[in-house]
Amino acid sequence: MLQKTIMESFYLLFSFDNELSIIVFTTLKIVLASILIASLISVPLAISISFMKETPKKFLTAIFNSLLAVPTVVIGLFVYMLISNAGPFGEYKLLFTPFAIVIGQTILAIPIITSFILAGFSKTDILMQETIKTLGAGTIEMVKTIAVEHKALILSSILAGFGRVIAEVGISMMLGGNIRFYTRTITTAIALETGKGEFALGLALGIILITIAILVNFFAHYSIKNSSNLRAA
Amino acid sequence: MIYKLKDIIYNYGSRKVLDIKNLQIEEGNIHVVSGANGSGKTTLLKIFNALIKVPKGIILFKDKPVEKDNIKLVRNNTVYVHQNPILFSGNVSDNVGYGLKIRKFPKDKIDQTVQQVLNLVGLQNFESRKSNNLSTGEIKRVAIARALAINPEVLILDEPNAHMDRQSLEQIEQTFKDINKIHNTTIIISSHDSSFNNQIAHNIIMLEKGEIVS
Amino acid sequence: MLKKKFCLIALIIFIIFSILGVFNSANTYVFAKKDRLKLATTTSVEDTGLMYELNRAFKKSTGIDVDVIAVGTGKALKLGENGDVDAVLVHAREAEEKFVKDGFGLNRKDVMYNDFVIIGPKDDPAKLKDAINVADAFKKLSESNIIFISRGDDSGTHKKEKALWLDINYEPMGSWYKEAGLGMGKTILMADNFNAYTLTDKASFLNLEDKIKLVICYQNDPKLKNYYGIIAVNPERYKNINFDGAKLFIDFITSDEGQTIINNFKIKGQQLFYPDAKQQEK
Repeated sequence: MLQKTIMESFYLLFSFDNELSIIVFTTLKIVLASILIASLISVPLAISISFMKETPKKFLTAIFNSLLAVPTVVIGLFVYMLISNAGPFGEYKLLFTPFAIVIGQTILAIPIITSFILAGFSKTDILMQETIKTLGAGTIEMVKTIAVEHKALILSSILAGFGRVIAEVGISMMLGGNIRFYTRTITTAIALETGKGEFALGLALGIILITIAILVNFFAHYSIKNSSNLRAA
Repeated sequence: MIYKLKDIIYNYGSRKVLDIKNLQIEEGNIHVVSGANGSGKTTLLKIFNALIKVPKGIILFKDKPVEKDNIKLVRNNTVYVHQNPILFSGNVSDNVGYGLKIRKFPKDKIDQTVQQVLNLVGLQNFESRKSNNLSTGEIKRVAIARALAINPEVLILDEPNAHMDRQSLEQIEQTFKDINKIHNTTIIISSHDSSFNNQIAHNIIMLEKGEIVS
Repeated sequence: MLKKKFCLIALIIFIIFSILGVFNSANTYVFAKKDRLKLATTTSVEDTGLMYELNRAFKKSTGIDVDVIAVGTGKALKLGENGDVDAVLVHAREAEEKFVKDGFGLNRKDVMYNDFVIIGPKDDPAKLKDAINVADAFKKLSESNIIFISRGDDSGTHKKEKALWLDINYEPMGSWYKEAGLGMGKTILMADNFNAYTLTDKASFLNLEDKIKLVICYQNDPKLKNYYGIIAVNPERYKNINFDGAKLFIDFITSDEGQTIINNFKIKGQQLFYPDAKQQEK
């Protein structure tokens, strides 16, 4: 049974049909948009938190760490209540569009990226902050420099967010509605095909998902290696 | 008087770090803050650069209190070099030019200044060396060059002579004297090397357990 | 170095296009509401591929894309109530009539029907094959102590099942009665795993027939007819409802063309749905 399913899934992979490529492309565009927006928010957010005094810093770090535990369906439900036609932003008709998924996934990714970056900051960063300050940088320059100096950490945090977001199904299902050729992503398609007993197709989609994750990680690590920045103490 | 400090008290937890009744720093001189480890030298130096906020006391920079908008004034005109400085990623030139780049200097002017200050600290032709590929002494001199590039009114250095070989030390000493003479730069140095202190200082501030003793 | 720059530029271009794509798709709703129609329907209809056939023909004649959101009947009606979809195609007549009566929907039309069947282990330990009618079959189930999987999700099928238990005045409980809380396909797969009985629409069963060991144990009672109705969501409650589109779609699905598509739709040579619209009009 398992062997047969795997054989079939490979056959499906290499006969890459149109619907499959639409699903993959839809997934990529939604996930990349979410991760980009989330990064633009999380990176400055994490750096600003790192500037804070000990007490608020610890408090906010704890908050973001706890937010990691929020299930995707809860985020989905929360966004649903906001953008449902019966909710406050109903008039924009965002529900069951790719954009709705982007909203949910951005909310999912922000705590992940933020807390991973915060966890990576170390004691030497006080020294770096002072160095940047003393050379006359304003806040924006400071955030920019710290981001550049921590690009490896930031990149791996973004990748952690990417991994979580591309693998989630609750938000995509609830806010996207799994509409064929429109909001069907890899994970919602897996859920659908498994429900229909099409295990081979489900597995093929799973393999694609893993392949994308591996490719993205290799690409990212390649670019870190090319700009490695061991800081001397 | 470029700095006037009065009734400064700074505590770290319950430990008293600084307790300065009255201190004035004269413009255009080389001042050395001397004292044992833990006597409050670093804290005092950071106060000069507004890196540390003092809860009690008055600090005047050019007769203006160091607070709110004036902090920017202090930062733009003074620069502090850590005892164990860190460099940014990239090459030596990126590091030394950093202060000028954020001050929006044109690129050719930055390159010219970088070359000049690297000559001053004895690191000719180091422009394109990677910053993660330098010895401790070289890192220190790059950090000093990075501070000099800004051409500050006040140059503050924490233990610049630690971890430095004799030859570089002599060169650095000469550099400090030169820029003090040419640009009338006020230099504040912390050090516990008495021969170095006597060589260079116009004025020595002795610290003991956070208090000025002479 | 050059290669790296090229990779980076390619990536950035890709990301920008992706984002434009996402925003563009959102704008379709914001600026050109008439182009898409959102229809909530049950998994049983969507999974068979019938909606795809209907939508393709509808798009050809009107140019309107139909977004199908496949959920249980209960949730489909809830989405309609919240104005999140423009029309619902469901199978729970009482709930549908209440939906219209409460002012959430307008223009309810019968569309089609298929049959519910009871599927179970091949050897039929509860002897459903001997049942004289569906009430008798359910009675046998309640007495047999063989595992029965219920949808348990307030879907049309679940509502039907609850009504059938009520008919024999029996409240199912005990370790033999399990509520799955899943869609039809997953519930059937679960029943297969437990070698249990379950109530399903025939279409969902035929979809999965090759993959499971379970067989139809009881069918063809008139009470097991499964009627599908379509309702447009009331535009008076929400101004941005695509009511014109919904009306067009309802007209289409109950027209000769739509009904013929339903009648001719077959999986493995078996007819799954029977058109029902014409009979109502008479």
